[in-house]
Amino acid sequence: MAAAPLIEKLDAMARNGADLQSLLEAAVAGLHAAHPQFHWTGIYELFADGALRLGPFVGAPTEHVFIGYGQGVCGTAIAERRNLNIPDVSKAPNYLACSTETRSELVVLIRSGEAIHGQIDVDSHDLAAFDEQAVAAVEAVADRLAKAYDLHSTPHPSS
Amino acid sequence: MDGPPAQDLASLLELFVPILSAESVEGTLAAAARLAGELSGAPAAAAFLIQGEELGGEEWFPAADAVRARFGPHLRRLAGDSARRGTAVTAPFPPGLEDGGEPRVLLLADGGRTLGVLCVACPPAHGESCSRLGGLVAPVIARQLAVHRDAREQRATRARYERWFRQLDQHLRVLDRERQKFAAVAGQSDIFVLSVDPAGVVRWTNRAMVRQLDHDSPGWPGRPCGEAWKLFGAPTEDFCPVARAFETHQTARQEFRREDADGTHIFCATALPIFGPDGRAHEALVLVQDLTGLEVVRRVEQRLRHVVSNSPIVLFALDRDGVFTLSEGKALAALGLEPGQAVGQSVFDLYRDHPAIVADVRRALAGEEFSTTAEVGPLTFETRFSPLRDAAGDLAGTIGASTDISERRRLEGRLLHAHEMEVLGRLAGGVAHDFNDLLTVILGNAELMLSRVQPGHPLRHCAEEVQKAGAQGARLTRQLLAFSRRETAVAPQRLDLDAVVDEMGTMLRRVVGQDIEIETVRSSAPAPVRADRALLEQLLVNLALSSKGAMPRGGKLCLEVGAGVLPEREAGAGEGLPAGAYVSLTVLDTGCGMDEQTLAHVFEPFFGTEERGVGGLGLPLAYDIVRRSGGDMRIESRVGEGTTVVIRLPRDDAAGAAGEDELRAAA
Repeated sequence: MAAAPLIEKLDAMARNGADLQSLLEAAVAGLHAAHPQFHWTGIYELFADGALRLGPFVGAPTEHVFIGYGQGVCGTAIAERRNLNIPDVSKAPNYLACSTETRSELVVLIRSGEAIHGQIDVDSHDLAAFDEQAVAAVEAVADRLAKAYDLHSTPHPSS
Repeated sequence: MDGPPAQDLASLLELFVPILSAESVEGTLAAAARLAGELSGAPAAAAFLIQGEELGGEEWFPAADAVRARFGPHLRRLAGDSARRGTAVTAPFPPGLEDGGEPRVLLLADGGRTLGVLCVACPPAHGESCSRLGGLVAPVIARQLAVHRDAREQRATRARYERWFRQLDQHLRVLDRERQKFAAVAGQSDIFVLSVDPAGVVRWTNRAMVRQLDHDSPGWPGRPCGEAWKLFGAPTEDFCPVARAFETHQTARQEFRREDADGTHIFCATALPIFGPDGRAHEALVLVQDLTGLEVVRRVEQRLRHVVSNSPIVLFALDRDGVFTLSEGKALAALGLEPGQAVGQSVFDLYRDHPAIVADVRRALAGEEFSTTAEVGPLTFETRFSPLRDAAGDLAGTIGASTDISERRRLEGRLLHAHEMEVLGRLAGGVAHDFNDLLTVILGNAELMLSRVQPGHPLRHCAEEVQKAGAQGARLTRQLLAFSRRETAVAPQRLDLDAVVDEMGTMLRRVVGQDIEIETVRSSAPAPVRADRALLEQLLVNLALSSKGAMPRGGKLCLEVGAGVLPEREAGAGEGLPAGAYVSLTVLDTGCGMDEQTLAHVFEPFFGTEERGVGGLGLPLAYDIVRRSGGDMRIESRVGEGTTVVIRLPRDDAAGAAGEDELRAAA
């Protein structure tokens, strides 16, 4: 599903002075609602200590409120500074079992150039749930959130 | 004068005050642009912020839009190039901007990091002062930008942590709700719940587990989980699904039994690994469930289901809408249905082509209790409907039990036919007996007449006709007496049907005449039967005569002896051919055949079959002979296509030499 309506909504919120928290919450809620195969959608923010900490999310509560640098798919995406689309998590050697139902996972970095603010993490109960369209939609929202981060804060030097 | 404008020290310091006192990056940039412009007397000065390798915000002096519009594109390009290259890049103003003099570019760097770019349109007369500006002012501006940058990053980090703490707070609330739910379920449950660490040590239990301990006993935490298995009477010390759960990272389940004074207890232990953020199982949750009561219920249900599914009935239940909620019983197979197959289907859809059934179901769903019969294809079912009511006593549907009474109906038909034949036979026998007395008188007198009337006498022929008619009458009387079962004594013996057919061949050819070709086919296997030889020969004659009647213009008559085995499930109950090996005789003619109506009455005496030439008793008598020999007889016929009579007699498997001797003697 195209991300255009969600991007427009985020822009309108930004114009009306919404704070970063509200934009992050609206982003995950909008992505989750628009994609039936997204069974858990959340944001992990990157902190100065290199750790990812759980931000707004939609889906079952997760015990992964803190993910160390290089740990699991999320931490690996930060360490390797790239998005990761894992069609079958059972074949990912460093996968952190968040839910026994999760079959595939998508991690898209929120970045401004070389600076990384955090990531959008999506889990699905289906194998290979993230096609090109879904990935493009998440990437578009991540780009928009990166701009919001630029407006509200300076990217962390460590990133 | 080519020096800077005259400024005293106090004035110079005053110029720095706005830079030092600015509270934001933007304020610092504005003060820097102003300072640069005023110090150099430039027509335009601009301070740019660098974010990454790109320009961020910018401030101008003078702040007039016209200044920004004239000098902005060139100075912005120079600032951008400088930011990307990390060094001051300058180039002359294009034509039309000569009044801007020479563009001067200063990098605002602090701690080795370029934070901004200061661009000044420097008049030629002020070149030296502009150069000094870089050495004097730029470091101060850069330091101020760094201070504000650090402050901004600190604020952003603080905001980020604040969001994180808010998120954690929400998360803790969710987890607390989950914890409360778990505690409520585990605490109140009769299932025994315990948490065990990878070393096999109990860390926590629910109340059900605590109740298993004595009051003065120390609690479960800290004890090896093996003590729990001992408590439940698990069979061996090796029993530990927990260890398996930790090893396999999978749920492990194991049932065990405990025998004690109360009888047999059945338990099921289930160990579920609980994973930490690192993906490893840090503990296992163990559920121990007493299945004893469930097992009893399960056994009763299995027994009940076994009884129902093997009962020779169809047991069904329908909800208010006529949808099957139950469909069980062995008789379902006769309908081509598996047990449970109809569940979920509407009876009105399933039997839409059976209006009588639909009408019965509507009566039943209206609450009526009744019995009825229904035809489904060749089968007849007798069904008892009873209303089905819910706990409140409201009508919830109907329940019914159907019995396949097709065989009973068939036997009833046979019995009726047998009664009819018996009555008819008795009547025929009585008539024949009395008529035989009359025939004795007629034939005696005819013989007397013939002995006294010489050949050639006009009455001689009359006497002969009387004697001939009397003889025919006597034959008919014998047949009638045979049919009534009063005349022919049955003397069964072991016979080879092939041999009997062979021996009768010549006689049958005389019976049917030259216009009808007779073909006999022998059985590939021995064809021993136990029957009365005279009756068997009479049977063949009767069938041949019947076929002759059907072939007035000649044709072909084929007698084929064969063998087969009748399965148990196809054997008739009580009467008819029993299950097992049989010998068959198929008599096939190419005659005119019979229509369905004739075929339905073909075994009834004197039923309008004179054209078949046996005076109305041939086939009934044949049928009677076969039945008296323990076999069955079937006729298939179509008008214009001839008739096939199939007779099956039990194969006589009398073992040993005695049987063979008897067979040879009979032959």
